[in-house]
Amino acid sequence: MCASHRAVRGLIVELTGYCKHTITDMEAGLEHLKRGTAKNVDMMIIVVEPYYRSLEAGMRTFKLAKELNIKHLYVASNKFTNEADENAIKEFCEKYTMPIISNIPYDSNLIEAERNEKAPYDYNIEAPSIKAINKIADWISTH
Amino acid sequence: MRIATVGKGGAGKTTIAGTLARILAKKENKILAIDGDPNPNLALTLGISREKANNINFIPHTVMKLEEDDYGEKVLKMSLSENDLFEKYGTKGPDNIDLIVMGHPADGTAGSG
Repeated sequence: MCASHRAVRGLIVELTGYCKHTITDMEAGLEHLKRGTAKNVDMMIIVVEPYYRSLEAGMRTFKLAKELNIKHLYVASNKFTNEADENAIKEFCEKYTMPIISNIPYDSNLIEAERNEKAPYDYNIEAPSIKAINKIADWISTH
Repeated sequence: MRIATVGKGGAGKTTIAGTLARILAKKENKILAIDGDPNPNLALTLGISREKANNINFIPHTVMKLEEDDYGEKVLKMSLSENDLFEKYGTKGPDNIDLIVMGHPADGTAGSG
C-alpha cells in the first residue's frame, strides 16, 4: 500500500477520539478505495454530477464502498441546473439502489465565493447549495 | 462519526466537505477536517485565508508507522503524540475546526510502495 493512503487511513482511526466528527476530503478517483484507505469511515458521501461519466464513476465507487462494508453510504447529487438533470440522477440512483442524501443545485454563489476568496459558508449562508448541504448535516446530527 | 467525501475531480466534494464541517461546527460539534487530496483546497472552503493556508505544514506519511504488536501482528501506530501532531501540523479554522493536510507523493517525500 502506498504510504500516503496508509497514513490517511491510520490517522482517521487514531484521531477518532479527538472530536465528535472527522470529515475527510478524499483524493479524487477510486484509488483510495481499492487500497482500502476509506475502509475506516462510518459514512461515505459520493458526489456525482448529472452527466453519464460522473454517474458511472459514482456507481463504481458505490460498489467498491459496499464491498468495504461502509455503514452509511450515500450519494449527493450535485450541480444540476434543471429538473431533467435532477431526475436523471434520481433515476440512475434508483436503478442501482443508491440512496441520495441531498440534491445540491448548481449555484453561482460558489463561484462568486471563490472569486472573493471566501468560504461558501461565509459568502452567503442563504445560498441554495448551502441549504442543501444543511440536509446532510441534519442527517448526521440525528444518527 | 467518521465521514468521507469522494468523487471525480471537480465534482464538488471539497466544497461539500468544507461546508459540511462549518455547519456541523456551528452546531457546537468538535470537528476535525482532514484534507487527503493532493490538491489541498479544503482550507479555503473552510474559510481559512489563502495566506494562512499557504503556511500549512503537510503531514509526512512517516507519521504512521507499521509496527508489530505483542502477537506479531502488524499495526499502524502514530509516530508522534496527538498534541505534537496538532502543534506541528494542525491549523485552526473558524468555529474551532481543526484542519490537518496530508502531504502526498508528488512532494517527493514518499514513493508508491
